[in-house]
Amino acid sequence: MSTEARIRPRERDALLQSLRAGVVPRAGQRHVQVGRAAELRALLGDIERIADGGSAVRLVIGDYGAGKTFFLHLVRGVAMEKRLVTAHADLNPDRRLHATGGQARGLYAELMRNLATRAKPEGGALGSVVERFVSTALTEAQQSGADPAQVIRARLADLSQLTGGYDFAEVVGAYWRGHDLGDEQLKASAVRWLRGEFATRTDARAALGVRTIIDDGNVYDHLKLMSRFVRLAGFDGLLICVDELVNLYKLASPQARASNYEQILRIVNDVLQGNAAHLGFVFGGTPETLTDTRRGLFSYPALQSRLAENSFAADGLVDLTGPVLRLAPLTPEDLYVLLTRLRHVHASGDPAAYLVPDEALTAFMQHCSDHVGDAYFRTPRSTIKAFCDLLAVLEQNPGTDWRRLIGSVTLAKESNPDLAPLEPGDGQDDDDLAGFRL
Amino acid sequence: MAFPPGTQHVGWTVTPYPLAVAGLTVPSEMLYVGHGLAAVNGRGPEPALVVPWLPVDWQSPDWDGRSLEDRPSYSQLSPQARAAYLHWLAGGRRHAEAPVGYAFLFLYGLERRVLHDLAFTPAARDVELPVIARELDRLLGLFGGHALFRRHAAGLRRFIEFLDLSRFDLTGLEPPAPDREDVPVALRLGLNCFAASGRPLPAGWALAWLESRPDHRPRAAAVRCPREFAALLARRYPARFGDGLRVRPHGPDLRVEYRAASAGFDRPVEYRLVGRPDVLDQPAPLRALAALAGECADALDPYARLLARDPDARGSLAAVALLPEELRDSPSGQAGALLDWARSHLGALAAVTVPAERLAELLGGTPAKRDLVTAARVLARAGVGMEPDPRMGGPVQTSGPMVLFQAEEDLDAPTAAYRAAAVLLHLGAAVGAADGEVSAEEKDLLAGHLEQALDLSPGERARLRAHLRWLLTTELRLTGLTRRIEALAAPQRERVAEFLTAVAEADGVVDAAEVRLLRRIRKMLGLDPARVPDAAPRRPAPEAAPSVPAPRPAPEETPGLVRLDASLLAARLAEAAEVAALLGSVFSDEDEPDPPPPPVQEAPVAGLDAAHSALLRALAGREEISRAAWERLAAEARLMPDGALDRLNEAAFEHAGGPVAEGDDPIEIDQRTLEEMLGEMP
Repeated sequence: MSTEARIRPRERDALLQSLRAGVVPRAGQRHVQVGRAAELRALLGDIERIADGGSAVRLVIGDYGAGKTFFLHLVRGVAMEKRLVTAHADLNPDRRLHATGGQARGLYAELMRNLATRAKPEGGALGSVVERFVSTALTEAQQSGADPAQVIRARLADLSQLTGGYDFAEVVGAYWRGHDLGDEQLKASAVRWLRGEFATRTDARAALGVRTIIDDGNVYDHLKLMSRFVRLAGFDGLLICVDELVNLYKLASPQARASNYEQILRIVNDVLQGNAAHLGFVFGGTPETLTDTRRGLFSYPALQSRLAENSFAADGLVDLTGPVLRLAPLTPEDLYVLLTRLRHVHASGDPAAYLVPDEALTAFMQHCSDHVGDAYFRTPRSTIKAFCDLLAVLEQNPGTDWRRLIGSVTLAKESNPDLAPLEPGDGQDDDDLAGFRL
Repeated sequence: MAFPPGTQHVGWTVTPYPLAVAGLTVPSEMLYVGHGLAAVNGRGPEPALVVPWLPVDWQSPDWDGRSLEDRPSYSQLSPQARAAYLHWLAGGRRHAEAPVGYAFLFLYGLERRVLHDLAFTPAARDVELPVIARELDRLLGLFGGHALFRRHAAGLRRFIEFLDLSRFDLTGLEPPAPDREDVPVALRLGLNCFAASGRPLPAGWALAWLESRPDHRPRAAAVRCPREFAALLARRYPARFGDGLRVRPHGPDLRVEYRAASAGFDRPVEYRLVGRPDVLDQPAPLRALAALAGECADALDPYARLLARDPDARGSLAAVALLPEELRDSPSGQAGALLDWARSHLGALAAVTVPAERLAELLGGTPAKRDLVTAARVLARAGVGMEPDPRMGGPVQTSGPMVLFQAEEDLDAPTAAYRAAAVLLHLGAAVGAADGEVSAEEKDLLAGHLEQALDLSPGERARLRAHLRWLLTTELRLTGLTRRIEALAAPQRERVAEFLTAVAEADGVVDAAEVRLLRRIRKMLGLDPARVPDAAPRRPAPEAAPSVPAPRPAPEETPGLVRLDASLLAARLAEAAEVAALLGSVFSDEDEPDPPPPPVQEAPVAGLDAAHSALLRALAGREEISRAAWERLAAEARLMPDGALDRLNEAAFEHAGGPVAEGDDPIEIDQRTLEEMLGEMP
C-alpha cells in the first residue's frame, strides 16, 4: 500500500464524490485506508493463497459504521491488483444465498453484474473475461491452425466434469460462434445466460440450445465453475464479497434462515477441506449477525463450532487465522491520519496544494468530538463527509479562513438502519407457505 | 360603445365587439374594461383593468416599453405606454415585437378570469375555457421565447387543461406524448381514470407513464430506435401483464397549482380533486414497467448498436436479422425481397432447387460468409431452410444450384450426429454416383438409413434430405474425395468402414443393396470389399470391437430375424461422434480457411503481442474513441473488443500503474499512460 501512489484525477473525483455522499467509494480506497494493518495482512495472505490455487473464507465482523464495507472493497481492490477477478453484492430480501423464488439467482446475477477486473474495477467485466478467454483460444487456434471452436471445447473440457459445466462450456462456445458469425443476439444471449438472467429453461433452450440455466439450486456450483473459468481466461482466481449478512439474520422464517446458513456452512466446509480451488469468499456482517444464538449464524450449531473464536484471543490478544475477523474500531489517532490522507487526496497528492494546516485537523476533530462524542471516530462516515465538504468549500472560495468555517460544521448523528425491521410483505415469506390461494 | 366616467361597470366577454377606448377602437374580447374593479387580493385596482378615461398620449406611444415597470398595472402605466398597449390590442395582439410587458398585462386579465371569476360562474366555464386556452396557445407562439412569460402562460394553460380534462373519462383516448420535464396533465388524469375504473392500462399508456418519469433513464437502445422499442414493448406487454397492468387507486389527491404572474394575486391558486388519487408516483407498477422496458431495450441492443455503427442499415438484411423475434413478421426492403423470393419458389413444396446466383444478387452481389449466415437466419425465421448453410458446415456458395426447403426447426450449429450423417451422406452419394447415376433406391437407402441410425431430430432429418438433394444436384468432387481418403491411415479407414457397416446394420437387416453399397465404399477406401459378408442374417458385431468389454448375451435364435444387442449398438452409435470428427476433418466442404492475417509488422510494446500493440498504437493521439469505432478497430486487428480492452488495460497497469482506456461509450484514452506504454519500445 504505497501511499505515494499517483492519484489519478478520475480516481480522486470518484473517491471524494463517494465520501461526500456518505457512501463507500468503489475505487481508490487504498489512498485513504488507515490502520488495520494486521487484518489487511491476513486478507493479503488469503488472496495469495487463492492465487496459488487454494481457497479462503472470511467473515468480517464489525459494529455498525466501523468500516466493514470499506474494508471489503479495499480487499477487493487488493485482490484485483493481484490479478484476481472479484465479484461483490449486498444481500437483501431479493438476493440471498438460498431461496426457492429466484432470490439466489438474483444474488448470482448481481455478483456477475459486479464482476470486476483490475482493468475494469467498477464492474461489468463478465464480457471482458469471456473475451479474454476466447482470445487466448483464438491465438492458440491461429498458431496451430486448428478450428477455434475445437480449441475452445478442448480448453473447457475439464469444466464439463463439474456440475453444470457442460452447458457452461456450450454457452461460451455460443459466444464465440456469435462473434464469428456476427450474431450479436447470440452473444448477448450467452452473456445473459452466464449472468444468470435467464429465468426459464425454455427461453435458454430457444436462445442457446442448452437445457439448463443457472437457478436457485446451483448458484454455488456456478461460482465454483466461474472460479475455474477465470483461471482459464488468464486470471489467478475469483474473490466473492458478500456484504450485509444482517439481511439473513433478519429473515422472518427460521427455515429460510437455516437453509441460508447451510449454504454458508457448505462454503466454509469446502474451503476448510480444500474442495474449492482459486476461490475465496469474504462476508461482511455485524456482531449480532454472528453471535446471536437465536437468529444469528451461531443459531446453526454446525456453523457455531466452525466459526467459534479462539477463546484465548481476548483482552488485546488477537488470532487472525480463524475464519472470523473482527474489525477493531478506529482510534482518534487513526482518524487524524485519515484526515491527513483526505487532505492529501484532495490536493491530488501535492503537499503544496494542501488547503488546511495540521492544526486545522485537530481543531476539526475537537469540534466533532464536542458535537457527537466518541462517534466521530467510531463511526467516521459523517466526520469524513463533513471534512470533505469543508475542503470543497475552501477550494471553491479561496482565501476563506478555515477557522471561521469549522465552527459552522454540523454533524448528523448516525443511526443504525439495520435495527429497523424489514418491511412486511417484501417477498420474505415465500419459504413460509404463509400465503395460500383457493 | 364607451363607458362614461363614474359608472361601476366592468365588462368581460369572449366574443369580440368594437369598443372605443380614448378614441381608439379595440376589440373587446377577453378584456376587463370599466372602472372600480378591485384586484383579487384587494390591494388596489385590478392590474388588467382597462379604464377608458385615463389619459392616453397618442402622440408618442412607448413602443420600447421603457416606462414599463415590473409587474405593470394599467392604471399605473404612463400615458405613452397606455397608447402603445391600446394600439397593440387594436392590432389584434398580433405584434410579436411589442414589449413582453404588454403581453403580461393582457395575461393578467386571463389569469383573473380563469382563477377567480370562473370559479364562481361554473356555467361560463365550458364556453370560455377553450377560447382562453386557444388564446394562450397563440400568445405562446408569439412570446414563447421569453422564459418567464412562457412559464406563466404554459402554467395557466396546464391549469385550464386540468380543469377541462378532469370532467371526462380519458380511458378511451390515446396516451399523451411523454414528457419528462413536465408531466402531461392528461397522463395524470388518465392514469387516475384507469385506476379508479379498475380498467387495465393499455401498453401505450404504460409506456407514456414510464417515459414521463423524471427518474426514468431510458436505455441507449430505446433512445436510438424509439419506434422499434415502442413496438416491441407493445408486443411483450400483454405477455407480462395479460390484458394490461391494473393500477390500484391509491395516492394523494390529484391537484394542480398555479402561481399567477399578476400582482393581483398573493398566493398560488390550487385546484384539488378530492377523492381522485394521483397514482403517478406508485413505485410497484413502475418497477415492473421499468423491468419490462429494460428487457425490451436489451433485446433491441444488438440492433441499436448496428444502427449506431451504420445509420443506413435500417431495413437491411443484417438489421432485420438482429431484430427480436416479435418484430420480424413483416420485414420490408432487402429482407422482404429475400423472403418473397424464397416463398414464391418454395410455395407448398417440401424442397426446391434454385440458383444460388439469385440469392447472391439479392444479397448485393458477392456475399461473404457473414451475409449468407444472416440470410439463412432470416429465412429460418420464416420457416425456410437453405442448403448449403454456412452455419451447418456448408460452403459459402454464390453460384450453382442450392436447395430451399420447409424447415420447422431452426438449427444454428450442427450436432455431432448431424455432422456424421452429413459426411457419410456425402461419402455414400459419391459412391452411389460413381457408377454414373444415383438410383432412387440408393437415395432412399442413404437418407433413410442415416436418418434412422443416428439420433437425429426431425429438423435435422429435414435438413439432411435437403442436403442430399443438394449433394446430388452438384457435381460431387470424387477426385477430391479419393485424395482425401488417401490422407487417411489404414486403421482410420477401417474404422470408417466399420462405422458404415454399423449404420447399415442399425435396423437389424443388411440387405443386398446395402451390401453392394458397403462393398463399394470399402473398395473406395482401399479395403478388401469381401470383408462385407453376404446379405444373410448375421450377428451384427464385427470382431473388431475391443472397446466394448461387456459380455454379449446369447441372442435369441429367431430364424430370419436378427436381434440386436442394444448395448453394442449404443456403443457403435456413440462412436459416431468420434468418427464424425475424424471424417469432418477429411471431408470438410469449407473453402480454404481464411488466410492468416498478414503478419503484423509491429514491434511489440508494453509486453503485448503484435495485434494488441497495433491496436494500442492506433489509439495514440486520440482523447476518446466511440464504442462503434473501437469495435471496428478491434475487428480489423482480429481481436474481440472487450477482451482486447481488458488486455490493454492490464498491460497499462503493469507498465504505467493505471488504466489506459476507461468508460464504455465513448471510451476515454489516457494519453499520458499511453505514451508511457509506447515509450517502452526497444
